[in-house]
Amino acid sequence: MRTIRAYELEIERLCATGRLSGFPHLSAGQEAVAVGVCLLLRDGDLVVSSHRGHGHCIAKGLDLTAMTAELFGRATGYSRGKGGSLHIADPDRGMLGTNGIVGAGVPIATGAALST
Amino acid sequence: MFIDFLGTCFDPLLNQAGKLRYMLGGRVRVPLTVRAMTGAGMQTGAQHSQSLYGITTSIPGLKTVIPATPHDAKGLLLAAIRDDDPVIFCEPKGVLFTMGEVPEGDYEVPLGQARLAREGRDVSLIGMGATVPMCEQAADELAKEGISAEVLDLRSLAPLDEAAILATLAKTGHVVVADEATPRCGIASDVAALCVERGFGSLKAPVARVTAPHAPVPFAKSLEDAYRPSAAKIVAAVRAQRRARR
Repeated sequence: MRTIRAYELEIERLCATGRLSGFPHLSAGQEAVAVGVCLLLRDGDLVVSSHRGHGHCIAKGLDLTAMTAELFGRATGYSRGKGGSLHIADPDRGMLGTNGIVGAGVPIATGAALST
Repeated sequence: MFIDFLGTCFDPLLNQAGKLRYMLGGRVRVPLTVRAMTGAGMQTGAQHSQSLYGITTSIPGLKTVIPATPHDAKGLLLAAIRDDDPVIFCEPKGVLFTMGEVPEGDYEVPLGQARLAREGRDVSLIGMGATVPMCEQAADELAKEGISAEVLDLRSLAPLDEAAILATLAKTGHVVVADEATPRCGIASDVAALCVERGFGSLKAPVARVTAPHAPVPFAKSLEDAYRPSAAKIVAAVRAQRRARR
């Protein structure tokens, strides 16, 4: 939870000082939801996230360097810089993605549940 | 909100609002205005940067307008709200912070009327929304090479001011259409088809289109810049078109 809070505060600072562009949606204040759920998950379990998904990614064990690279639009990011904050995914770790459309994760999660 | 979000409420627009007046024999009206931001350039990613007005334009019963200036934003919005049919009012991000004169009080810009933004003799640059200032900047560049470019701002995509498009084509014989949207089944293709179908005798060169590529909008700034149309791309299209003249 402390990692998520520290990460989000740093992203907020980078945006405020103009070093990071785009419109990252932060999840500071929602740390307990992400951590509480992910603590109970097994390695093979899948997570579908939302537009405030940095905390979900961190709680699911994603790599902070690759996440941050994605936020900066770098080729070394999880989505090769094509997605940004709203499209961070690591299928190998069961993170099926943050999402720019509110509510769009529900049918994706349903399909994922049916397929496993 | 963002025009990308039409995806979550498309049936009410596509099958209800756009068709009720026709299906019920004209006995009802649907005076609805939908405001929607369009276009890329602000690093909002693939789900918040699209220019989907080609889709709404293709649906009979829906009207679609896209202002490029503060003056037209006010005038078109008032006309849209007062219109008895559903109107999609596009707010292009590329011109969202443009400053300009806006008259006090009540006035309307009629739906279906293009605006001649600049007069010219040699080539017609046709734009909409954010590509209008790109066309104007391209016209400045072309003037340095002795090419006189006319700039037509479509303003209204449905209804479309076909007469204004054919008139500028008849005048210059050369048409370059610049559109932020993807190239397939879009406004640029629509304008090109109109020019070929009804203005073929006036064409001195193939119609050129400057659009985004057929791909989702990328997040990274460098990729997004490469993705979008620009004044430089319009100038390059004009030069290529002049080399291809018959």
